[in-house]
Amino acid sequence: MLNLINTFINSPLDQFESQTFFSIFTPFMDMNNFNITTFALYTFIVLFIIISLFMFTNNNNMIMGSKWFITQEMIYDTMVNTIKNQMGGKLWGFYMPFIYTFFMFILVSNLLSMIPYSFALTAQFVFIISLSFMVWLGMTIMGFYKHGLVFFALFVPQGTPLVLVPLLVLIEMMSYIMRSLSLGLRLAANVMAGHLLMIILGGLLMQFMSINILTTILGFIPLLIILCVVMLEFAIAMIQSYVWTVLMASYMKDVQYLH
Amino acid sequence: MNFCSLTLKSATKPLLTQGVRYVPISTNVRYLSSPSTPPPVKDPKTKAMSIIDALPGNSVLSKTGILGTSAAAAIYAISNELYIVNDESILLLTFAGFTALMAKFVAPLYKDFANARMNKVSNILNESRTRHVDAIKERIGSVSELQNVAETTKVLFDVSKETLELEAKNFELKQKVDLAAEAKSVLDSWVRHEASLRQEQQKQLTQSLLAKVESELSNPKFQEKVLQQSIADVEKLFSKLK
Amino acid sequence: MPQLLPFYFLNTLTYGFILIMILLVLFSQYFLPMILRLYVSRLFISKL
Repeated sequence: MLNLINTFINSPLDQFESQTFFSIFTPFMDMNNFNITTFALYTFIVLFIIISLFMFTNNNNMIMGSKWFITQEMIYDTMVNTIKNQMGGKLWGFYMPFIYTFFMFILVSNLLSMIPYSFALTAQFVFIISLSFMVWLGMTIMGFYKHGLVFFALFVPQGTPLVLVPLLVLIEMMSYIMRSLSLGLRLAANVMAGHLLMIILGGLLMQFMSINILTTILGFIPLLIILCVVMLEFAIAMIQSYVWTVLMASYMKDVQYLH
Repeated sequence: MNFCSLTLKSATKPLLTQGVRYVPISTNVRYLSSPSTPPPVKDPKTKAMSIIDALPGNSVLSKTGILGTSAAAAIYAISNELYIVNDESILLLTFAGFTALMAKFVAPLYKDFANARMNKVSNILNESRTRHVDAIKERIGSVSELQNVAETTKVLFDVSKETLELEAKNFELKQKVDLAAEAKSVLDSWVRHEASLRQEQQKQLTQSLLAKVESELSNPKFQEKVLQQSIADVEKLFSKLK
Repeated sequence: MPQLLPFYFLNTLTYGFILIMILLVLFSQYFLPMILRLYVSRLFISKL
């Protein structure tokens, strides 16, 4: 059922549930993977926003873009500096588009989810954690492909006494494996916590304001606090994408150069 | 407190301008029916006029029409449960406030920054373009100084041709002089040869003469004749002496 | 049926990974080279 207009939120967690708008049904095979759900709709929106950020702002490929293109240039400069500083060496340029893709995706979907009544793509734990797991798995495969069994040298920090090596290898391996989980969990948990906080505060204020006229007027003071929370969430939305980028670049450096 | 009042104003401004659908709502949603809650700081009339000016349309009639239609639409939407006022409405309010804050404070800053950066980049580019144009003009000037280079070359060619001709003449004359000198030396040597030849002939002549004389002398007849001659001479001399 | 639980998320994963792949191709093929070309042409104009 098209539940786009009549959105009545009962639980704070309802906003993270994706509904099916349009389901594809064939008698021969299971096509439910390609149902148009809220998630799919928002992937289209993100794609459209990213494409239009680049295509409609570059002033017909002139040497000076429009005012909006300055943002793209700034993001590009920031990404180049960050990835260069994190990875170093010569290989950072090869993996920059990869990391840049994740940065833009997370940034755009985080900011998109800040609009009221919209859906948070990055709060989907399954998707985000599988994304981070895929990234981790690809990096590990690349490390083994590049270094062979020498890759295990990553688990022994330089200058370790020989006695401590087994213990340290165990700990380092645990932390290395946990990276796959923590990278995505950090992002999804932050975004989800932010949205939950906002919706719960909004609900509380709603209840307070609906008592009588006096509380309605008084309610504008806590509204300012919620406004501050919203601003904080905007900041978090941007910082989390940056954090993902920095961590991904540093993991990539570990895999490429082994320390 | 100043900041607070500012934010309050800007948080409620979108409510005034666009969210007219909240305004005269029915009984159960009275909590949002207070668009004029912030105390008017300035003259309320000018404020109202500015709000009215912000609406699209030209005359007051069309503006009131828009206001009335949007209010009626809001009432209709809420009463028919097309729009439900719930927790997200608060977030919509705060988001609108955030957007207004952004539009009021951050957007001009960004605009200034973007304009400054665009000006900087385009200034650098224009500067380098003018520099390039100057360099090209300079080169054109330096080249245009050589525009009569063909005539100069022609003159130079003529001069060199003349020089060559003169040199050829010079060489010819030199050859002639050389030839004359050689001829002279040859003639000189011929003359010397002739002279030595004549000397030789004279020498031979005298020798042959001497030999003839000697042979004559050795002839006794002649000797006798000479003797008699000489005796006759001596006698003559003696006769004279006497 | 708890064993069907992973299949509930297949839709999300399908669309998400398709989006990531499309974005990766777009960025590495079109958008980042576009910015790079812009910077390089600015460099060529100003420094040469």
